[in-house]
Formats: sequence, structure tokens, C-alpha cells
Amino acid sequence: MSGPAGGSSDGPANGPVAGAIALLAAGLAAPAGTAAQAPADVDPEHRPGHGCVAGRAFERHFDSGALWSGCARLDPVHGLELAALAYRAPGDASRPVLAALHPASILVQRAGEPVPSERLGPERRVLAESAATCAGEILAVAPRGGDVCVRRTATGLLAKYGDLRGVHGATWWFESALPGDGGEIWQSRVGLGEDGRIDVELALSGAVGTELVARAAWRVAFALDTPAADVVEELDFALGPRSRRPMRVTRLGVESFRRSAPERFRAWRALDPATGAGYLLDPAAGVAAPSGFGANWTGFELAVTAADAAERHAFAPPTLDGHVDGESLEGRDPVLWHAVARTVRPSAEDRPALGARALAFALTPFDWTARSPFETSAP
Amino acid sequence: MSRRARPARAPAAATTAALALALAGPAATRAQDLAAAANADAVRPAEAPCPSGGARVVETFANGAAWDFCWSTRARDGLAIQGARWRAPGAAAPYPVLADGRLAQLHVAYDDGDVAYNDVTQYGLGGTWLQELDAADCPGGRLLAERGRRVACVFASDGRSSHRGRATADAGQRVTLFTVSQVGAYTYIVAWHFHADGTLEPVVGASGALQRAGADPTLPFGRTLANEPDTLWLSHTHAYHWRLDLDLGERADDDAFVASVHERDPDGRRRRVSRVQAEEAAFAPAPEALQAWHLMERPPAPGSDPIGGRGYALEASGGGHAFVPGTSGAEGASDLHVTVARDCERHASQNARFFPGCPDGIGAFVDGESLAGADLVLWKRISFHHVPRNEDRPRMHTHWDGLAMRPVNVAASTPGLGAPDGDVGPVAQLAADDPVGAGEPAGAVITGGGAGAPSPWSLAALVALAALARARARPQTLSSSVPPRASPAGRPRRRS
Repeated sequence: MSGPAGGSSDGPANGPVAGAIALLAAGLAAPAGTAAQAPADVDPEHRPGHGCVAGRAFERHFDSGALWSGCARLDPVHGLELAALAYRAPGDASRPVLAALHPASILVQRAGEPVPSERLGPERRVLAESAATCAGEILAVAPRGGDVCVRRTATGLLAKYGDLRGVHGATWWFESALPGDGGEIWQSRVGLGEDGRIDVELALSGAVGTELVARAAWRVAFALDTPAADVVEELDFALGPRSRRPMRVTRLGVESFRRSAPERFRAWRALDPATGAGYLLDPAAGVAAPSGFGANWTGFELAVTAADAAERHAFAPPTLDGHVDGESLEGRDPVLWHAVARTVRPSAEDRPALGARALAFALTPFDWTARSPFETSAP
Repeated sequence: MSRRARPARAPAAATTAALALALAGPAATRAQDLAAAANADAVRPAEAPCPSGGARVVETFANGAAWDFCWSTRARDGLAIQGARWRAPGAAAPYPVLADGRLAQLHVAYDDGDVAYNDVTQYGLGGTWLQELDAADCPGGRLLAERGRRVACVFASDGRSSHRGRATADAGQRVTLFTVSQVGAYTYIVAWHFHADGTLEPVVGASGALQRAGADPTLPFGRTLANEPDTLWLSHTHAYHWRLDLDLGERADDDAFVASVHERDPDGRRRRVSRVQAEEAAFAPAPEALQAWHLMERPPAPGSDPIGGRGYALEASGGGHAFVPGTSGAEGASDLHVTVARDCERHASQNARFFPGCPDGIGAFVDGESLAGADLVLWKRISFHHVPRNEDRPRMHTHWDGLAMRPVNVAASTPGLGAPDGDVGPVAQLAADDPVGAGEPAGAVITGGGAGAPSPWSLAALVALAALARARARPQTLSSSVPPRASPAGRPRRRS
């Protein structure tokens, strides 16, 4: 039961939600299948029993019976990180979705600057949350300290059909703030939706005095459903004769950079090959990232790499250019590095604080369940 | 065919009955906030008469801002918003923003190329297509009736944070008005969000059920879904076209449309290049150029930054899907058109069905006419390519698409905020960066570099505002209760 202040339970890894985390860990344990063949350098967040080390385990419930659980961490370099995320659709079991989700780069190029500069780095420390900054609950995250703000928002009609009563939905938002240069403040926001949708944002606010172009990249490490190593498909729908758009599905077999292709409605899908359960990343929800930020990797909206514990950020040597080195994705859980960009031009409304400008995208369940978990009758 | 611009707006009258928003149940905390704000608010927006029998909604937010607007429905366009005005916190008068906004077409093209629907002109979003709502459709909000039918819901909620300082933040209040239209198997939730910070956000939620399927599951135009191996549910594209008649300030015929792109110098510096659009135009998406669009209250003074005055910025959100129509549309690859307002140019396609003698679509509306001294209309398209998934059966989750229009130099400062305490450090930087367009060449083209706010903040002012911010009560969270699930009890109308 979720209410304005309810619907949650939090604790350390061995606390009240240890069962859920243990289940998740078991799901990641790869007793059989390709994941069992993962190399020794696999990201520790994939390892069985990893649980919620250096973080705060959480569960967030919805009235429909849906549930999100996972581990909230605050990293000294990138701030908010949600790990071991699992979603339970109404009437379904809790199943793993992501091993980790966190910012991987924030590049900012102010007007007049010839090169962009990176906002993530070890010198940043997340800002404290208080009643004045968090219109929800404040999660203290041990052991490094720091706060994550968690709040619930109504998302309107989740489903509506004819004159049938509408189904209303909600989203739990996990937010923390990092200081940028000068008075910039970067808010990391992850929205965990009642229908399994994941909204991902980096929002710029604070004191910003000049025009700028910002490019934000997130690291999305999948661990979908069963222990089988996930795969990534690229979906293209090029317009052909007679206004037809045949779907072409290309499985990405090696680490690579990819560009968005709006004219082809290009999207990417990660899925568990054992069950077909997956998530869709449709870049339509964000603004495509332009080139010209310098390094090769900044010229692409997407990179796909094999999960590797040493590869967590796009900017730090070795950069994402080094991470994408042609390794096979076979038998490895994939990591998507997705970037969006936007311009920011402060106006009078942005003094003294910039109205939040979000760089955002969404991950949508795609065949996660065999049918809508919110409706029970055929139309 | 009328070719005249609208006259300047008449003085507002205070005769229309206002629909003051009342919240109940789980929204009680928010209602108290809003009521307190309203009671403390001596200056309410003047209540201008609503055109065409519409009803006015007046909403005052805890930060002191207010929106007032008229709503009504039309047989084809469905929900129409008219006379929308935003009053910034502390402002003496509301600022006219939107004269008329509505969906001008809802185009659905299937990937097999066999069928494309123009839902607005072939069917319609209003009239009998409009669904009557009950309290369960509108938790924490208020149902609004038109001609005896409760077809709209208005409710207040927290959005995403509108701004964040080191020690302060705003949860981002907004009020939403929505209607629901059933067209074929699809259910369209047509909504407008009115944000406390002045942002205006029209959105459409696509819900309902999948419409078309084929019997050959081997074709590459859709997908077979779980437990239906012999049915190919077809992929398709929804293209939403909004007709936005933004009349900023007191006159309708003096707005200026400014298109901006960002260019890179050989040394890597990016420069904004802003041009006042002289003639009707169509704009195709060009992500590499980091496009930006503004409608300004009046043309810029010679030599000044074209977007340095008061206006609204059109956010290019959700525009990633270029859409090239096949059999039915005339809109081409462009997703933004700017035209002179014409009474007979109402629908983005199939316009001539209802306005014989007028062009049939927005591609033909753009015919090179001068925008100077004219009432302008923006036509914005957002496309959503829907690839069927298991979750879409038997009925699908809502997929939302929309755009945002953000005020530019309409308010004197961040709405509802003093200074975020702890953020006084960059004052010198703000002041140093403030000169706008200094040294820029004269003419209609300005390369941007500085901030657009007209005056720097003094340290004393920031300190004073910081004290105010600390004294301000923290924002409250509104959460709507989720109603019990309904038992399916009816079937929608089907397209013939």
C-alpha cells in the first residue's frame, strides 16, 4: 500500500528487505547458462551475494501491487547510483532489471569556451538533503554518508479505455544533487514507475550565468530477468516504397558506438534471450547529442560494452573510447552508455536559480510480462 | 478566405464566473497551501470573458503565481485552451500567453503502408467521441462539465523540481486539465499542464488498445505477441499536431518568431545564431544544430539579441522521431511550421474538407507570406512510433508525448524563490557575465554568448532573498490515491 508517505521500506542489505535482495542476488548468481561463463573481471555488481554494499537497500510499493526494490548508493565520483534494481509487476514475481544505473559523464561547454569540461569527478560531494530541499523522504546512505531524496508523484492516467474507469499510476523518484562548477547544481533523478518504466534525468539548476551546451551520459548496466547474459538489438524502420517501414532487427555482437537515426525510428532493445523479457531505449524521448565535444566517444548517442568492473565512467582514462575496444558481447551482460544534449540559455526567470533543465530519457518495459498486468479482461 | 490579422486584444472584463479549483481528500494539504496563497493574494488575474461558450479556470499557486485560462471542446479538435494568462509571483497583472491552443491533427500511419488515419478530421476528438468521466477518473481533482456532461478533470500536483539550490528547492507545482477521447480502439488523453513557473505543456497520452493486426505473422511490419502467434500486431506512428496561437503581451499582431541554431567555430567555440523569421517557414529537425525556437512579444530593437526581450521558448522535447508521411499527409519532414493566423487554416491535413477553398494542409499554409505585423501561429508536431509489445494487450499503458513552452524574461526573477542560500558565490560571475550581446553586430542576426537577464543581482539583494527563502515553508507533496481497478464493462466504438 503506497500513500503520500508510505509504501516504502528501507534498510541495510541484511535488514528487512534482505529477502528481496537475496532473491535478486540469487537471480544474478548464474547457476547455469551463459552468465556462468562470465570472466573473472565481471563487474562486482553482478556477483552473487553482492547485495547492497556501501548503500541503502529499498523497496517502494504501489497500490496495484507493483514493487521496485534495489540499492541506492552515493558514489564519490558520479553521485547517485541505483543498483540491483528489480521490478515486480502486479501479479508477477520480482525480477532483476538493472545491475546499475548512474551518470557516466556531464560535459558542459559554456559560450566562449573552446572545449567542454567534465563535471563529474572525485572532488564533487553530493549535497545534503533537508526538509527544504526534499518534499519526500530522506534516505541516509551509509557508509560514506550523504542523502538521497525519495518522493512519490502521481503520473496521471496509467491506462484508460473507453468509458471504463481509468487506472492511475505513480512514480517513485530517487534524487540527489551534485555541485558543478561555480553555482551549478546537477540533480540526478531516477523515476521508478508503477508500470515498470524507468525515467532517467540529469537536471541542471542552481546559479548559471551564461549560455551553455550540456551533454550528459548515463551508464545503464542490464541484468534482465534470468541469469542468462542479456543481448542488445538495434531496431530500424527505414521508410521504403509504398510508405512501408519494414522492421530490421540487428543484434549487436561486439562493443561498438551507435548513432541515433530519427529518420529510421531507431531504437535499442536489451533482452534476456532465455525469456524474451526486455527493456526498450527509444531516443525519441531525449534530444540527440551533437558532435563536436572533442573526443571520439562524444560523437555518439550510444555505446554498447560488455560489463566490466573497471569501466564505470566515460571521461576518465581510459575513456569510453578505450572501453569500446571490439570485445565480444557474447555471454556478457551488456552496458549501454546513452547520451543526450541540450542548450541552456538563462533568462530573468533563472536568477538567482536556474529553472531546472533536464537531460532525460526513458527505459520502457518491452515484453517484460506476457500481457498488461493492469488489465485482466480482453477488450 | 480571411487574410486579416486579429485585432489587438480587448481590455479584460471581470464578468465571467470563475471556476475556482477546489481540492479534496488526499490533496487536502495542497488545498490548504493553495487556499492560503489565494487568501494572501489581493490581486487575482482579471477574469476575461471566454470565447465560444468556454469556462474559465483560475489557479493560484503557493509561490504566488497564477494561471487563468478558458477551456471548451470542439467536435473535431476536442479540448481547446483559450485566453491563457500567467501571472508571475509579485507581478501586478497577468501576462497573456496563449490565445488559442488545440490539436490540429492526430495522424496515425501504419508501417505496412496500407492505412493512415487522420483522427481529428476523419473522426474527431470531441462530441460523442469525448468520454464522460467519473470521480474515479479524477482522484483528488475536480470534474468539469460542458453541456451537462462531465468531460474534463482538473487537478493539482507536484511535478519535477522546478529549481534546486544548495539548501532550497521547489517541488514544481502544476495544475492539469485533461479530457479523454475514444477514437477507434485508441484512447487519447488530451492534457495541458500549467506550471507554477509559467511553463505551459500540452501533452497527449495514448492508451486504449491496439487497432490493427494482420494475419501473416511473417511480415516485417509488426510483431506477434505472447499467446497470439498467428496475429501480427502492426507498428504505427502517432503524429500529434498542435496548433498554437500564442499571442504574447497585449497585442496579437506584434510577436516575432526567432529561430536559433548553434554553429561551431574552427577553434571549437559554439555560437548561437538567432534570426528573426521574416516569412512563413517550415523547420525540419536538425539535432546537430541544437535548434531553439522562441516567440518574442515584439520584434527586437536593431542590434539587440533577438531573444533578449520577453517571450516564450519552445522546448524541442520528444521530437526525436522524424516522420515522413506517405499516403495522407502534406506536412513533409518538417515538424515545426510558422504561419500567419487564418480562420480557415485549422487542420494540419485534410483541412479543405471543412474549409473548402483553403489549402489542405500545413505544407501549403506556408506560402511565403510576411510575418511582420501579423498574428502568428505555430504548428508543432511530435511523433511517437509505437512498436507493439506484450504489455499492450489487452489494453495498453499510456504513452505520453508533448512539448513545453517556457517563459523568457516574463518574470523578474526565479518564480517563487529568493536566493538559494549558499549560492551567493557566483554573484561576481553572474555580474561579469551579464552584459548581453555587448559588441555584437547590429542587425537581425545575433550570435549569443551571455545571459539574457537584463540586470545583475547585487550581493545585498541576494542575501536578502536568501533570508526570505529560508523563512519560506517547504513545499508539500501531493499524492493522489490510486482508485480500485475497474471491471471492464463496455466496449469502445470501432471505426467503420
